[in-house]
Amino acid sequence: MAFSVDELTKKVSVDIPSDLKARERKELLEEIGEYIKITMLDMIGDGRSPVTGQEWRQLSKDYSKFKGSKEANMDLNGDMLDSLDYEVSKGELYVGWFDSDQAVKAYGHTTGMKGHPFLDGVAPKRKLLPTDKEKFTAEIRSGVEEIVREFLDARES
Amino acid sequence: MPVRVRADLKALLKVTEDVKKRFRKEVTNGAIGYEMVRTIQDLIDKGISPVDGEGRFEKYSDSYRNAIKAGRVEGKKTVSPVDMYVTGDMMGSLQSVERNGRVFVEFTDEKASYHQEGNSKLPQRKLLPEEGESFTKRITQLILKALRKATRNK
Repeated sequence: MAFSVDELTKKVSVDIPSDLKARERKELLEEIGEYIKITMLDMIGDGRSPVTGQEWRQLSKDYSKFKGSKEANMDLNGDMLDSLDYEVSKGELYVGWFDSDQAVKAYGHTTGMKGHPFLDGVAPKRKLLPTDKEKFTAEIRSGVEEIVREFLDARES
Repeated sequence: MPVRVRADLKALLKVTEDVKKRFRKEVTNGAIGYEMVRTIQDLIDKGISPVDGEGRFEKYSDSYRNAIKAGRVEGKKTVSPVDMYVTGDMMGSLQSVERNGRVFVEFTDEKASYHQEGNSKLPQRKLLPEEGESFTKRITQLILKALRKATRNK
């Protein structure tokens, strides 16, 4: 790669009641992190963006031939998708790529190789992770809300 | 007698009960079982374990990856995702059954138990949750979504 990225992560804002104990908050955020990770993998596996919900542009003929598959599932040898993860730190949830070797690939796909000397503006954008100003797709957000609801219901009962 | 890897669906029992409560008699155990099998297959096709906390299946061994790349594994062209598919026998054996009013999901092909348990030569790749484990939330949400859609279309 002609550029470097330390990590590519998204801080996930979740509406959680403030009276939750730190241990409960961590447990809930970890549950949400796992859900977002699996849902992202599922959507990416379908060739759909977890940000827009839309299908990505198809692979070029040459690349399909090289890859041995026509699916734009971001899965060539598995390294990048295997390293998608989440972390709960200081009461906040972060989802994305924490390993710089894989983060740079995810950044390249998400931005269309922004900053790359000769691929910038040429490579297609395939949004893997929302930027600070963007959100996950409504499907993911409603799934998160459902998990919070279930967690709070179970806590009350 | 085939070796069976079976999720007795204690993990999903609460969900199925919730589903029934929500949809009353419009949703049968058969419909729940059908959606479960379809959803589990779809996730495994993408190399994702349906068991909560397991994530993506461990990569194929280097020797197997090299064999795929060299075209020596019939019917397999890509090294990733690890979709548990070679001949289709194992994935085709995933089925749902109803016993005493409860929904079960099981693999009847014995290869499933080898993957489920793993050994010194085969990494463990969990295909169904066992006692103390649960399905990933993505599965329960997709099943609910499918059933909601099905009942809306009635």
